[in-house]
Amino acid sequence: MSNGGLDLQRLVLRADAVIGRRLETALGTRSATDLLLRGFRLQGSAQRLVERPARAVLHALNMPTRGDVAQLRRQLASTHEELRELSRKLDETPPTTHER
Amino acid sequence: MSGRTGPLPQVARELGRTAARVRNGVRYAAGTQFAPIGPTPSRVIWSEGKAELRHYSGHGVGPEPRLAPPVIVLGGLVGRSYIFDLHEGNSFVARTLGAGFDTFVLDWGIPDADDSANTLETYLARYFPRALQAACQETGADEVSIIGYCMGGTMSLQALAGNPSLPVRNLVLIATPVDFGHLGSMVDAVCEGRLDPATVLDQEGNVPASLIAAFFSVMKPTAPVVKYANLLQNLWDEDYLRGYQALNRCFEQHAPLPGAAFVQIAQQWMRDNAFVTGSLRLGGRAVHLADLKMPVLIVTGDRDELVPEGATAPTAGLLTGTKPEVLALPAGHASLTTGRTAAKHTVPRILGWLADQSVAL
Repeated sequence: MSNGGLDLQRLVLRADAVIGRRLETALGTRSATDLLLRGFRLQGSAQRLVERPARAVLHALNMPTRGDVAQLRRQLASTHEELRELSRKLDETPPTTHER
Repeated sequence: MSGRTGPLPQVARELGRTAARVRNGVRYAAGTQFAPIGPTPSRVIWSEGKAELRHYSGHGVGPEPRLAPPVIVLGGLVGRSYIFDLHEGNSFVARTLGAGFDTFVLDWGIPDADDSANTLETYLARYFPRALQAACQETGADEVSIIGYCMGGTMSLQALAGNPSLPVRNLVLIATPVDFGHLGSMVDAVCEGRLDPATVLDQEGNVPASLIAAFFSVMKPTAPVVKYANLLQNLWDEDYLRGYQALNRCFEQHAPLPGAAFVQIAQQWMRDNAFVTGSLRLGGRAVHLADLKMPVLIVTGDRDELVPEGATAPTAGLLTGTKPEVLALPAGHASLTTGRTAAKHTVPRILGWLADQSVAL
């Protein structure tokens, strides 16, 4: 049984040595990367499509979706960051004296 | 003993192993924790946003330190910090403690929608200096040593060059990329403008962990098959299973990358290759690596499949304000900090260098 396990392990390692590098090279090409990225974007679109009916129902009931809450949190985070940046710039600005 | 070389003991052993394989396989599939997360005791001494600084020494939590200055270990934004404390017997933190260092780990945390607007400035100009200050306050030290692993090293370089007055006596960069022209096809896609950073952000405004996992998978596509074949072979051995589960957890569970930080990383680090071209900026100001004056150790692995030699090679030449030492080790990306190779060769040499730059308490 151990031999069976070892055989499988050896087989996998041998197969990896033969095809692993080639697969890495193939997946490392420009077209494979673009295909992968397209697939990833497609996955996002599909997810949004699936969520659309649930969103319509929740909006009809005047209720927010997970996406709405996430968007609100993102906007809040962005506002916080802008405020922080403004505050930093204010701290760096030397105080001005108004002469009459 | 020579009379026991027949097939019976071997058959008995294999039957025992098969039974153990089935038992462990069921337990593993049922979600049994063979290796608890972060087994070395620690306490959080500072936190802000999702970031926190954990202290492992003294206060009845860990051993009393024998060397100064204290050491802060940090990784990148997409990795999990428990890579530094995998499991009992395989913990970078435990080895640092064992060598006598007052040890901290800076964990950036797992970002969500609240952190999507976090920029590099948030992490490098705000969290990083405050974590250093907290470590100094906690220990009464004037300075600390930094060990940055992978993207954690890149972040340390930018943070320290952006504010050279930060109290850092020594800097260790492990598997730290600076030339982003050598990091594979996904990074190339960003550099060449084929991947617009804004198009990969999820609902929460971050780069999802699944895309980061895909980035690593493309680099070594057959790794899961080899990994499962090895697991099946060693499933009877609980020690192996412990190490497998801990390491697997680290390399499969990535953290999302805050969207705003990613947009900056894509532009500065990747498209502009700013570390190499000298166009690095932080907080609206130019950042020069030549401003770093502290002793620096650059550690690379000759079998590092994630951060190849080309990505680390320019570092020494860029740090013109100091005389960095380069330690090229026969190791892969993970085995620079974890596993048997790390325990025997890499970590002792890294900590040995750091001990030479430190003083006894």
